Amino acid sequence: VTETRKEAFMQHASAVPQVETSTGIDNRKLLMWLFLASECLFFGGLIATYLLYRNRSQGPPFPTDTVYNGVHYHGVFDIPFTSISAFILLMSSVSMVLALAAIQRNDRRGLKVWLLCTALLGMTFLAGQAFEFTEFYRQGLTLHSNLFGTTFFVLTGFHGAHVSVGVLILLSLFVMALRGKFKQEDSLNIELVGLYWHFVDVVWIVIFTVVYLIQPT
Amino acid sequence: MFTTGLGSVANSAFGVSTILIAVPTGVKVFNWIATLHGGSIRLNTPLLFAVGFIAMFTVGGLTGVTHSIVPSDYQQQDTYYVVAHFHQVLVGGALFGLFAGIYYWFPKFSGKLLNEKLGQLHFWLMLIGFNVTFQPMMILGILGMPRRIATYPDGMGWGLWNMIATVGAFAIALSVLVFIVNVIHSLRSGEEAGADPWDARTLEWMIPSPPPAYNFAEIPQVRALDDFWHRKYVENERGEPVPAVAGGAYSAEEPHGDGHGIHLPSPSFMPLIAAFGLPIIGFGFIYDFALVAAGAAILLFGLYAWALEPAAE
Repeated sequence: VTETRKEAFMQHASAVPQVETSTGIDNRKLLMWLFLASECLFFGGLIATYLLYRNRSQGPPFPTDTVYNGVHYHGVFDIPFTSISAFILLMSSVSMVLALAAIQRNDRRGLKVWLLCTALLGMTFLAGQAFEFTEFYRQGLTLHSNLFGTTFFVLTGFHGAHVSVGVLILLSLFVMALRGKFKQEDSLNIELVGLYWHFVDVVWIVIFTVVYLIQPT
Repeated sequence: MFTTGLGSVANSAFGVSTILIAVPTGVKVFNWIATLHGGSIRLNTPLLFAVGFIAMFTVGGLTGVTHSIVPSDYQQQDTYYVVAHFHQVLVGGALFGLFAGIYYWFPKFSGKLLNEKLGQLHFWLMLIGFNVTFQPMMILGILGMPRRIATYPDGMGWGLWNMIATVGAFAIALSVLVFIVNVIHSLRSGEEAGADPWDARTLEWMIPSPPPAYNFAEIPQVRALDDFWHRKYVENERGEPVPAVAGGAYSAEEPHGDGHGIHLPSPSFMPLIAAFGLPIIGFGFIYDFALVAAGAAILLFGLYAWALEPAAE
């Protein structure tokens, strides 16, 4: 028997699709929510750290145009560029919703198209972040340069790592979809990945607002 | 906390909250004592460690309450008094409890009882050694010995108490040695434990020791608090427990419902390989980013190989 473990899991999962739980919510979905709750604490800590050390850097580079010790420094942020990559990530949430909607109405082709689309949008966002990080590095901003560099790179870097993991999962789902692993009743698998993906997206909305848009006066 | 210079308002708040910790902790201590009250107590090694835990943890908690008095804490800050306090809590609160658990559940996971005489020797050596080690540190702290020092000038008046603490530390080491001997001896030629050596109340004692890999062949139906006890004992007309005939107040024969077969994952090396990638990523962040890529590759290989591994059926 060359049956893979994953298939065995899938078969088992679809053999008992509706287990009665005291919460009224599928165990797998509850676990995903719990995981996302712990992720809230994780990113909450990093965002709080960023806010705590905002405006406390002893020396350049600064996020926005700053006069420090009588010298004028240009800020490293490029708000229009980051707005575009934030928009791209937002759009990937739309395509994720479309992927789930496709499998729920048993549209296998739509599932493949929208999964790949979501992954590609995610990768575009990551490419934008790689470009941004490189650009900041050229302007002298590193993990060690100042408090802004440390808190900024740790916060956005961990978010980027989450997007990367999400892209890997989406590509895995895409390959599985190509091999015809998903039926209409397996839609929960797509839904769970969707929950993770939307969470990562929402976190970016918070980060983008708090770090880039709301500037201290 | 008080010496960080936050001001008197913050100090008062922290003082009050430090006192408040004592309330739930005190409730817990009375919980534990009340659990023992009225029971037919067998003073064997697990219980000795459990009682030792209550006593030592209480001492540790009481020395913690003294920290809530701000002027007194100014004196204790960063001295051996603090070291003594938190070791009293750590060792008394965690280590004694851990050993109680090990002595209690060792028969379940190994199938052999730990030797009772060696166990009691271990307990008394540890209790005495522990107090001889850490009580002198309380005095040292009040005498002003700072923590985190490797050495100190002669003539500070700390020599005697430090010597006593050193002797106590060796007693603790000796007690752990007794424990290790006990484990090796019992694993080799210990008394067979059987499924339920303590006449226990909880479900894990229903299955053989050591338990089969699947634990329960069928999920047991629980119909009472301390269900296993009620399978073994019924109450007579005076409310005393008497051994139940033929397997309990209700039939030990479980109704054979359509319980699912038990799915056990096949053994696999892949989680180990995936875990091996993680420290390499960690080292990579410190030394060289190329290592991050290598570690990530190992991690991903492990995860995907694990997921795609053929089932051993």
